[in-house]
Amino acid sequence: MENDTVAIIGPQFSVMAHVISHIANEMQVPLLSFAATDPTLTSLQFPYFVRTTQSDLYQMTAVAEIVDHFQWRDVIAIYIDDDHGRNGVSALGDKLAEKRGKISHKAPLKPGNITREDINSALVKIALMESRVIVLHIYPSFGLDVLNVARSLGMMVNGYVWIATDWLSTVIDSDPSLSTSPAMNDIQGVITLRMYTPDSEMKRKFSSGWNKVSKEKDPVEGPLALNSFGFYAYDTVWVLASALDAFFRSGGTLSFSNDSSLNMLRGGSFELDTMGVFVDGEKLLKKILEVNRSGVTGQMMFGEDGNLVHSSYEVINVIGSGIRRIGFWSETSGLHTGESPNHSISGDGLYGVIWPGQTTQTPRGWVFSSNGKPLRIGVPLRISYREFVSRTEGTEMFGGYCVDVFTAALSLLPYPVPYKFVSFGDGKTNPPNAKLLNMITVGVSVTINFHWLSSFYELILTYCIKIPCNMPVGVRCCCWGHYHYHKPNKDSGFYTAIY
Amino acid sequence: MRKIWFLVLVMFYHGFPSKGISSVSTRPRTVNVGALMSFNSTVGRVAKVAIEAAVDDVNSDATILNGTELKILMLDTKLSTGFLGIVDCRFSQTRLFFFHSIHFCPFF
Repeated sequence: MENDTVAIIGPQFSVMAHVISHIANEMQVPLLSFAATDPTLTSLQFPYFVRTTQSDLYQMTAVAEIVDHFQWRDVIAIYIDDDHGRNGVSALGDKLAEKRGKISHKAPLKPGNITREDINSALVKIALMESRVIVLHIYPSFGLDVLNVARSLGMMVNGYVWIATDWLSTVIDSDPSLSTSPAMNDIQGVITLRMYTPDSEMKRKFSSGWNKVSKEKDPVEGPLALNSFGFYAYDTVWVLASALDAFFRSGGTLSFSNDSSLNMLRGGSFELDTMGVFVDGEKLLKKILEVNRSGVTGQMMFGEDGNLVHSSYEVINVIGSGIRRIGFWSETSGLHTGESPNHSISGDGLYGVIWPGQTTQTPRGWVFSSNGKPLRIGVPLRISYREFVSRTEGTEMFGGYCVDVFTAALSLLPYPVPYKFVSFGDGKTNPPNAKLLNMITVGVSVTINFHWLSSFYELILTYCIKIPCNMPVGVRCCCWGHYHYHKPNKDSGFYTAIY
Repeated sequence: MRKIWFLVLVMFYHGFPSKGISSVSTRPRTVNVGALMSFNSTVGRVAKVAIEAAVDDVNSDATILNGTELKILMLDTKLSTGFLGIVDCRFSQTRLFFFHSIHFCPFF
């Protein structure tokens, strides 16, 4: 039947793509989506889903590499709790794990109309947490609201890192009036990504004719500002046209049959006998996946996983009334600053960033959480070597050479470390070292996290430098020393005891 | 659920009821392609124009699909990202492209 639909361009949203993909499978009608970026859509479950834009799998790889580049480990993810948000963030978790990082907190927002109260309650929780690196993976329509609430809560200041996925670059590209609007103050210092499309004659021609075309096609809103999805939407039609051309050349026909497994639903009020299955749908799908052509977005060609090959993103820093490109990420070369992502020296990082709070100093990425526990230090109440460590009679104060070294070391750290001395032993006999060690390792292994680990590490380094060469170190010497078991893997144990 | 199934299915249908297999010659005069997006969204607004421009360009290019006209049937999924975009869209002229005898709110 000539009048039937042979393919669908879209849908735009990943959530809807999931729903429709099930039906597309049955009807054998390929879906070519220029904007559904959920990585799981290219699963084997949805063979008729073809993504004609870049997958969030690659975008999240880029985010994870940015996080790793600045040596952060824990991030907080804010997202809409639907297929698009959840699966994108799940990919981020996987990619961070490959770099030995993790998502320390996930802040899902409910799909639909998000209120400022929803955003507020999610952000207030985040502000009390340790990580200061926040990844915002959301829709263009809600993203600026989140950043606006964040600024009102004082979360757009020095110390915070905000990484917005490509929703923000899309908003910036699509709304030229944003640069002079108050909303610009909410996004200062934010890092965002933009799908990279190389310059080409075809792209220049398309871009230069865009104003005229968009005014003509959309007289009410036009002329529109072009964004990356516009390029991909344009190329999607060409991919489909090329595939159809090849399909017809190879003898494909537009045949539709009503013989499908959906037959069981026929009858009654469903009226499914009006539906036709595209008999040669699989053949058209094959032709689509075989397309290899140059478009306005560059080379349109699908890899084995069904995603477009040569994924790459621009890494952008929002500064003042505009944006500054601080580098690129590409599948083949990782992060780099070269103009042409696929042909530069890999791994040369990014240009300097101006962070929230107008600082060029890279944020540490974490703080001691205001509701966290202080560093607890076990102090043996010994009867010998009291000049090294002892409790001041009748108080909970501790003194001695070891305590002095410790507090001196702490004062050298660029941030405060809340701590508490916990006495051990009755003060009448020397307490058994093994027992204290055991208590520390058990207690520490339960409560410790990586932020503490890094602070321990700095403490110990400082302490080791300061310790005199002839100072007896270790348990057997019954004086100030330390135990630490440190393996490269941060998940392994790392325990400290002080004597 | 029944409603949703029906709504989703109808989008693939365009024309009149058919029984068994029907087919046309290898080079049809027109090829129909559906397009789903939210016309009023940041991405959809631009994509709609880009798709229309691309269809014009394809149809005016003699080197591709020569003799066959690419027809795009645009459908507005509104601002909803999921099911609501499927069911909450009232009657629109575009439904006519997709089915001829339904009794309730169409997909598009």
